[in-house]
Amino acid sequence: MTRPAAVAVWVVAALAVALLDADPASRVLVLAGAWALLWRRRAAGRRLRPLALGLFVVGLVTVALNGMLSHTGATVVGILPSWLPLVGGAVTAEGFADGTSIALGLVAAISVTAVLSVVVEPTDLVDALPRPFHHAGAALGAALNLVPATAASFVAVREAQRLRGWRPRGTRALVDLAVPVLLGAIDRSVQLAEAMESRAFGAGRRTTMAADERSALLAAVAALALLAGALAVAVSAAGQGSWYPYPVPTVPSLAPLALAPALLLGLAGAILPAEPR
Amino acid sequence: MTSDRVSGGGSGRDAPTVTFDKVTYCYPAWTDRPAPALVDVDLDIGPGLTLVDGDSGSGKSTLLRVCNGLVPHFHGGTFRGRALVCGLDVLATPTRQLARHVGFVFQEPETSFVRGTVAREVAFFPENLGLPRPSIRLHVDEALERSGIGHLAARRLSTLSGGERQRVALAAALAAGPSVVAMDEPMSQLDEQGARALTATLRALAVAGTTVLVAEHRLAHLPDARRVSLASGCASVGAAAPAIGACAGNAAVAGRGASLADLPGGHRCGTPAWSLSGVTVGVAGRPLLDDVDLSGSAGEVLVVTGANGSGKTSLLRTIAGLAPPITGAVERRPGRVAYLPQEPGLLLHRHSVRAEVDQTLRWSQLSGTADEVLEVLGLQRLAERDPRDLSGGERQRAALAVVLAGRPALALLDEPTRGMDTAARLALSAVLRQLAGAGTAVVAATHDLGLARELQGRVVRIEDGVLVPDVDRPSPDLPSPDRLPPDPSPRAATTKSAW
Repeated sequence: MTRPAAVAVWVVAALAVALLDADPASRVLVLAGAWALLWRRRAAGRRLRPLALGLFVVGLVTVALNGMLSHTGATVVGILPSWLPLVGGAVTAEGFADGTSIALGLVAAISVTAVLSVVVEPTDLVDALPRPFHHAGAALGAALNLVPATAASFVAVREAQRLRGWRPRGTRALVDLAVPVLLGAIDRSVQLAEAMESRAFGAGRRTTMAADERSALLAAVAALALLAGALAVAVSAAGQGSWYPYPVPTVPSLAPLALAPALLLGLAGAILPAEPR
Repeated sequence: MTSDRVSGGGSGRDAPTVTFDKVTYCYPAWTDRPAPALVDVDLDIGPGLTLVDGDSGSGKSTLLRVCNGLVPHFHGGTFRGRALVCGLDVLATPTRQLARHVGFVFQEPETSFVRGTVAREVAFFPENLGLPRPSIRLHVDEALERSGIGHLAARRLSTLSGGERQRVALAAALAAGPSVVAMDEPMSQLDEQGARALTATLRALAVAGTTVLVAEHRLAHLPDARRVSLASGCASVGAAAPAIGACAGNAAVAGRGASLADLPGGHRCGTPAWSLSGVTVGVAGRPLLDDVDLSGSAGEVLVVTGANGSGKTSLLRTIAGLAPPITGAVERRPGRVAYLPQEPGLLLHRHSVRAEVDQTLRWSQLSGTADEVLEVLGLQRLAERDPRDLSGGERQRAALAVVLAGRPALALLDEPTRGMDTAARLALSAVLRQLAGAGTAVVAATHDLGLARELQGRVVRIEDGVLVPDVDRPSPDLPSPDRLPPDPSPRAATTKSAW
């Protein structure tokens, strides 16, 4: 078991828990688990601030929209003029409570997915593919490196052309921009292929440095995550773990069975080892 | 054309690791070229440090590419003769097999990176050889150590400076313990400190018995290397490069707090062309240069020097208006701004160099033809060639022609001599002086001391986020730039420059 594979299993299981278990307490636990992982195990150079800001905005918008659009619930906290399309009508505390629950699920799901790109390198992730796919994975990982370079070249070409007097007008202007970007991408691909060939890519069976001697620990991470996912499916199928704020909001049950999947995920995340040097 | 057999390397007892026997090679797209890239090259090169020099387009990169089989296996074309590397016939051995013996470092290391972090990048080579994981780790550790970047192992490649990336590329090439290391202009992007560090690493490799082949224009850093000189694809043997001369005593010295305008070359010309007032220059909100007061006049040449990553490019981009200053004000007089980016490929995508220059004239609604700038940059011979078929140095000159066409009001040039031979650099200096004479304000960011000397303009250096007058700027009567001392003496510094 490699570390990227263990992280991938954790992410899939955590997504299942975040989306299937509607108990806000469970979602808070998943969110906390994801952020503990992001904070403690983020790869070198990864910044979390933009993600946190984005999530804050997403959460806020979700709560606000649900609060103003639901018009359902017994506790009316205000009334918007009826001539306002969609939002006109009663604004209820239940609507905001439901919005909070939905926002927690959404933010938890996005945070969990972010673990994949923040905690492991994308190239390591494709390296974690089964052995028959090692070469294809390595090539795909190398190709992934071209994406930011191509995006950067789009900006750089636009700047360079502008200073030569280029003024975008009509579809012809797109050609003036797209052709250099495309040619640059082709050039970079050829250079990358040269570089890979020069380092014996395709010479035979490929191994990887990513394999981890702590595979027992990583296997435990994956096993706990799988158990959490399976438990979340079972709890959901049994009709537990749900929470509904209408007609009046209630305190989440905090039933141990409903919280168990999220707690298992937290445990799995806690024992995930750091990236080896 | 036939060249004499070139021999060198080892103590005389060592068998040559690289042998060329009447090697002639022509790229597949070169139907319009009068001569092949390599012509009847005879070479015997043994362990040690060998410098491959020659003008831009003389075949240096091609010769190196034969050593690891990229020529002809990757590029195709017509190959005659025989090349043996570590006893393997290049023609009969695929590149991926030759790679076990030959480490290769490309001109632009950033385009050859395949992974995200330093350690994983270096591991890519031994991973491809199918080595067991403990062995990979040993190889990676050793390669990082030999390249002097053990401390960077966990760093992301995107966070490294140009010099650090060059060393990562070297470590990646060394990771499989090759007998031969071929490097294509490894110092073209390095500052003096980076170039010296890399040179030390190459010497250590050579002493350890590795055959090190370096194609390079900055000859002063490899004074003791054997030389193989290429001219129009023909090889000839040469003596070791000239020794680095001592000329620090000739440098002008100014006292602490001196105004940059007072320095030699600080001649003020016409009307103000651009100015920065209280500007903080940075990238993504991160300041690189604080409180900059700097200006230039029409007809004036300003050279900006500094270490890799010090903020030279950001300063140029701020002057050009491509990057807004974090604080402060930027002013430019009306007129066209020419900007040469570090990557010439951004400007070259049409079918010929002439078409590309014509495009600038058309877009800028300028009269005149491409011939003028092509002639002064010595590009008429290449005018109808596809820019993508040119050598690195030739592409750089073509990009210069593209941006300088039509006499811009302000010319901002980022490392304009990258990959250029001495003759091309001298031609460029003449062109820039001519432009300045015609009223263009020129700002060149460079680590090329030769260019700084030849331009005879003001020189400022970026040091720890502050612009300081470069009091060691070589005066015009100094010897060849290739003899300039690599280690400048302490300089005067000011916290804020103004004139």
